[in-house]
Amino acid sequence: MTKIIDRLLLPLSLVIVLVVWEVLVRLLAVPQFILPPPSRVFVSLYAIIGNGLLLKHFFVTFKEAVGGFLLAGSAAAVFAVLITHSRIAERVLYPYFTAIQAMPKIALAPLVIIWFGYGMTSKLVLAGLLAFFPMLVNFVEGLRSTDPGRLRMMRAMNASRWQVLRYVRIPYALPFFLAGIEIGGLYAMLGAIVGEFVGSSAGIGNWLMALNVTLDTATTFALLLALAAYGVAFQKLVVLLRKRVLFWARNIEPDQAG
Amino acid sequence: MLTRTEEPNGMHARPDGVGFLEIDSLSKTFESRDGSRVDALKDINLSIRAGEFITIVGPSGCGKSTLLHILAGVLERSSGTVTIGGHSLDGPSRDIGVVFQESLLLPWRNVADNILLPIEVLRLPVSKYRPRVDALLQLTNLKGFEAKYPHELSGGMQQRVSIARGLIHEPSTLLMDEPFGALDAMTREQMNLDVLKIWHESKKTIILITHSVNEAILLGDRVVVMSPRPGRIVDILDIDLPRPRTIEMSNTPEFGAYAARIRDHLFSRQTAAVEDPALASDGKEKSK
Repeated sequence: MTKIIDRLLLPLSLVIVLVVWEVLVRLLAVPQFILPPPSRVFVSLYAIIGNGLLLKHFFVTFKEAVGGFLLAGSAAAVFAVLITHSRIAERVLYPYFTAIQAMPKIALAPLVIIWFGYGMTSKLVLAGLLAFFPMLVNFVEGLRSTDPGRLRMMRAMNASRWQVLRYVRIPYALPFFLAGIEIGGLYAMLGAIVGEFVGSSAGIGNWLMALNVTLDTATTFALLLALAAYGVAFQKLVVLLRKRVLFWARNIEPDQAG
Repeated sequence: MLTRTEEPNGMHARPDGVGFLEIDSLSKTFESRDGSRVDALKDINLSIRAGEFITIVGPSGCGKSTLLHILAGVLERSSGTVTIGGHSLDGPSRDIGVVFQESLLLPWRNVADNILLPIEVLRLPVSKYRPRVDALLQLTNLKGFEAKYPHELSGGMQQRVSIARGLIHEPSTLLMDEPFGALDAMTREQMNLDVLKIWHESKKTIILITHSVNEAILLGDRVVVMSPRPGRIVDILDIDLPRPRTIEMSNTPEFGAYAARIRDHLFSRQTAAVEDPALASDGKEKSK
């Protein structure tokens, strides 16, 4: 019985919020360009799905985000291995990385547009720039998380550095890798949209700016709804991946808990 | 199946009477960053015959784990020589398998793949060693568990997997560093019997480190007694108990005599150390 109530709690509260929102907006005669009633938002959502505009613009932004994410992910992996395996690389690279990381990278968006133009390249760069640092930090942390006992065991087998990396360090870093991928994926989307705000000819960010000009707030809400759905779907995907890849990370011996 | 004669890598004691594993004037000094030096091991001499079961017993801090880590090749010695089968031992050797205090299994690999890890690291053909995995599963009483993951096994089983892993690449010598310290007393007794069976059937040279006097006597052909600061060998006992050994033997007078002699070494060290104020206060607390 309590289980059924538990399950119904969330949908029920959602319905109540939507009904209160709808009634209040209509009773108080709030202008639609300030706060549209939910019914209008759903009508807009239905319309932009129907005419294919949502898919078209979303695909532009999605391509930019995925491209930037992949670039940032591979760069972060290479630099993480360098930093954890070479003291020189750590000494030379880390100060730069910390300096750039301390900078709000969104502030670079106008500059990136000047350098890389209005097309896809500038969005790739921005998405990659935002996704790179959280991934790098997590990757480095992950590669350093292997417990000394297992490193000693590998040394007793006369394992090469590459073998230690392959057999122990990388698998041990997977929980960190996944955390980095989760944050990196969301940041890449953020970077792509901000890039589109600053200068673009298509994409969700571009569209949002255009909707602001025409005061089409209902469609703006519809887009935000779509973006939220995408974010939730992405996180669900990462959770699924974690369950598959990290089946061993639960119920493990205490010495691995760290 | 696992007898010495069938091992391609098995090395034998040289016929001239020199031991198979020779430790000669081995010392280890740790130097900390502030320049202070600690003698962990001082002038260790030990000659071990092929196929011998050596146990090393001593209080914590006597450097027994340091000794084992040097033999395993993961720690450099400060001076002295170690030879195995007539070859100088510098760094990790293929001819040595190691079992550590913790099983140190890789949690994302199942039992069979954990056992095969040294084969992969040594770049040997894995398929050729599959039959040997089966034999080792049999030997370590793990038949039927090859597809299980470490978190599905008990602590004792995990340590048995790590013993099988230490034996997979057919080393002549198995080093065991307090392998059962983390296990409960019941499991530990069973593991002692299992190790005796493994030793008997595989004919390996085994060097096992323990802080349990009974374990040392029950398992060893010879018991090496060590004392701390600096770590030295204070006695070596020939254990003249019949094989196969049983748990009941620990109730015999011979066993008791061995235990008394070992405890005497460990105890006399403690009384001598009462001049040390830190230890003296320890003693007072015990007498209350």
